[in-house]
Amino acid sequence: MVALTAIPRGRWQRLMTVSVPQARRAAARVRLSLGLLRLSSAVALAAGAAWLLSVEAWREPLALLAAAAFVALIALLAQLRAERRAVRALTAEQQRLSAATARSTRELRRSRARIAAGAERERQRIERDLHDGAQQRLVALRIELELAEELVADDPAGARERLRELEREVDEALEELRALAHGVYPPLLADRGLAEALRAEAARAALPVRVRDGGVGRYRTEVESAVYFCVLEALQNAAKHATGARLVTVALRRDRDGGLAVAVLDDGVRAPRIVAGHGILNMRERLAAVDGSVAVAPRPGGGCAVRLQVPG
Amino acid sequence: MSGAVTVLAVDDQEVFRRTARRLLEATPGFRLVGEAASGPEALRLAAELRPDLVLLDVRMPGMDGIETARRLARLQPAATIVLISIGELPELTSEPPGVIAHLRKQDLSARTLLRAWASRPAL
Repeated sequence: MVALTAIPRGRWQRLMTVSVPQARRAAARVRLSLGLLRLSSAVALAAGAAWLLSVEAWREPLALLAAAAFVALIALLAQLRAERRAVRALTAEQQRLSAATARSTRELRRSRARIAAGAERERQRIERDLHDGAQQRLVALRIELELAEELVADDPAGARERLRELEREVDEALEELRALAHGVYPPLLADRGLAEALRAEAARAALPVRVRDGGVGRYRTEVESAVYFCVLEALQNAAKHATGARLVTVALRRDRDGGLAVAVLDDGVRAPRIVAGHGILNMRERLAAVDGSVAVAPRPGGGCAVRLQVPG
Repeated sequence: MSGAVTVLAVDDQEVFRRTARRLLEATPGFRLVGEAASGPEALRLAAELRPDLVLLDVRMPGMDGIETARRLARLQPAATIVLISIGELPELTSEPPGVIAHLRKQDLSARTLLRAWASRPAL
């Protein structure tokens, strides 16, 4: 049994829009077959009756009865056959729909499992970064401060020098924490929104990047976060694969239904066939979590277009 | 310094090995003889240098500190080990032989090291 609540709204709607018209068409076909059969039965009965009225069969009541029973039997058999065919058609359609539902459910489960596994990997990475980075530095500082404290009485100049070194190490620990926090959720994204955060990132990108914000405004936190990290991924892909690219354009647009459409367009030279690697899979999974989608295709004039879409 | 307690510091974090170096320089009666960044390297150096004390980080990628301590105890039954870890200390079902203390990294100092060394069982 499929738990409907486990299927995201957008996916379920897509599944239903594919299946319901097909089921309706099958039912219409069945109704048409039954109508035709009823019509042919009526014609056969009328013909039989006309024959009976016109011939001498009236003189033989038994023959009349037999003829009527025969016609009725033929009509009944034809009706039964039509109904059997209709049932078979409906069963086949039902099986096809069940198989399609099962396929969609399996795909959704796999996708959800991948998203959950991705989130888990991300948590572990953050924990590891904290453990290996700032936490180690702070623990080392704790020990070294105690050593410096002991040095103060015997060697004040040496202690001062050590304290200056430790100040630099505090700065390094702070920078590591800042970079880690930025990787988890960039403060600019939280405070100023997608366009500003992308502009700041564009200034640091390996290739020249122009951001056209299209006056999109703010979206839900999870939408902004998913789109922001997808655009970063697309920019990294462009830096890696768009040979000879001179400019990458990031264009944001608010759809009529309030959704968000983003295009990342580069003008580099690429292989004619774009193979979906880890980067595209990551984008797909990030966007699937907000019912969004990604399409990657070569641009007619050269370069590559990554188009992200999140419904409103 | 002759008669000093020789120490092998084992930690995958360079920042901590550097701190251990400074700590041991400042701790009278102790001398750092080697540094290892992993369990296998620690076993190799311990066999080569035969240190009196192994300062061993619990959390390391690959062979962790607990497994390294178990192997070390099998290879060198006389080895004395102080386990160190950040934050909470993991609960061990059985302490590997040779472990005389388990210290939080942030509590490591000349004083705690001397106290741990003094607590080792008499041979």
